[in-house]
Amino acid sequence: MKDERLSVYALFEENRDARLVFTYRGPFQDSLTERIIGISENTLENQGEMARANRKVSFLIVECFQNMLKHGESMINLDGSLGDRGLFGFHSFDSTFYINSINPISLAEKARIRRLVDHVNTLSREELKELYKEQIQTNCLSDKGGAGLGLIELARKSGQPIRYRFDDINEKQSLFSNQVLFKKDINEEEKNFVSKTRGSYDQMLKDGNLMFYKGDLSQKSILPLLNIVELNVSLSPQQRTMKKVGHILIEMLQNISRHTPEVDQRREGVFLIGISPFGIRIQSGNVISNSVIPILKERLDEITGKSPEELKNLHRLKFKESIHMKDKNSSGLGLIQVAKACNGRFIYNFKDLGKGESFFSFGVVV
Amino acid sequence: MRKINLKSTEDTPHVEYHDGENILRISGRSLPEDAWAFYEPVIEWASVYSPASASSALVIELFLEYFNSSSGRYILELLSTLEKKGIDNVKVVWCAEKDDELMVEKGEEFSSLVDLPFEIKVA
Repeated sequence: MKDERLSVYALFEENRDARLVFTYRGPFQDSLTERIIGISENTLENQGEMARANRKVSFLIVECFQNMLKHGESMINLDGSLGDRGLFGFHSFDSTFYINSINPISLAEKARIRRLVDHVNTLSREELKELYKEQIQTNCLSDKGGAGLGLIELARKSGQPIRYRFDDINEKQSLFSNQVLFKKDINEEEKNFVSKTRGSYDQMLKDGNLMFYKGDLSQKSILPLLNIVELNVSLSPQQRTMKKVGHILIEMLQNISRHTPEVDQRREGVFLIGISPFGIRIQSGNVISNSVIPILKERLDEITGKSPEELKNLHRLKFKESIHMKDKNSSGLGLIQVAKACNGRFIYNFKDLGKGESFFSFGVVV
Repeated sequence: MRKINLKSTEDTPHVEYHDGENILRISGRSLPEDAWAFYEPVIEWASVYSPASASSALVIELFLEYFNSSSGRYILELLSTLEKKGIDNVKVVWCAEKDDELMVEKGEEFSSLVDLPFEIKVA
């Protein structure tokens, strides 16, 4: 564990202005679509005019994700084996929602997609509609079911140009990074996340991270995240470990939720899941008031340096005592439970942010 | 005995009791923010449970997919309530999936904390 590093603070800083950030590196499967939409829907306002705009955002997420599933390939490694399938994610600011995806495609497809996106980006709304109709009627679809049609739909529904870049990765493939955005306020200045997301992807590959989330961590937002992890449990060959990840994640996220002050009906925090040389890594972080640090440190001291057996006994003792506690909604068992589940393999850090606040990072390896 | 039938939600389990079979079943996810609000009626049910009206042993069957620490606290309180009543004819059946090591461990911990016949079933 001494070589394991906490990276949630750096990621929090990097995405500080964003209301919601989600990046996911797989595994990719059709059944994920609904679960991913769950994340955005729970975070966005769903009333009045905003509800209409957010339905469009959900549509764009589905279209982008399905496009990636249908047309993306797996990276061909040097030894010929199949590797990573890319990244899917989104960034949401007050009134603009950015959807980014990165996936390997064959070099043969590269020229065709470049031509198509460049063409689509020059068309007006009416012209896009015509092109869409034309594509359907002439049945000019790729054998996988129409990468062209999907891209035209994205441009139509987003009403904004599709940003993209290609990076050739081997003799046969190129990485296609693209961005679709939806502006609720047409005057808001557009950001371009294509290169930034490409950089994040490289970093995720290097660090072994698979999923990152920054946003609201109140109960309604935790559940869609758990649903994604649960699907990963069912897809993973390491069911035993992944199941443990689910249990630990709940406790870590609910702990954040419970101990983060609510601002605008949101309790903001970050978390990531990845693979470290020591096992599966789960890290979480949130901004806390410096006034709670002493009590938190006391609780951390209680579990630090304990053997798995000692943690088991400590949990047993505190668990038994918990039923006599007066406070009905806090058992004080969360941290002990997490430490016990990861056999004491956890690290933490407090980063002073000034103005009486600190960022608390906590990570475990399972 | 009073029937219980609480349908499961995204973060609360299905809780069911019919006096015919005399089994209290709790299954699914138990992750409510306010675990006390959810478990209070179940604990209340246990506190008034009377074995006199039952023809067979009471079985508490727990098959939880996930539960948070505060739910754990009230499940323990539920079992302790029955333990304190000193009923002879009661048994706890704790079910877990075979890959769910942590859930089996949790069952063992519960079993060590209450003095009730306790069976851990791994499916």
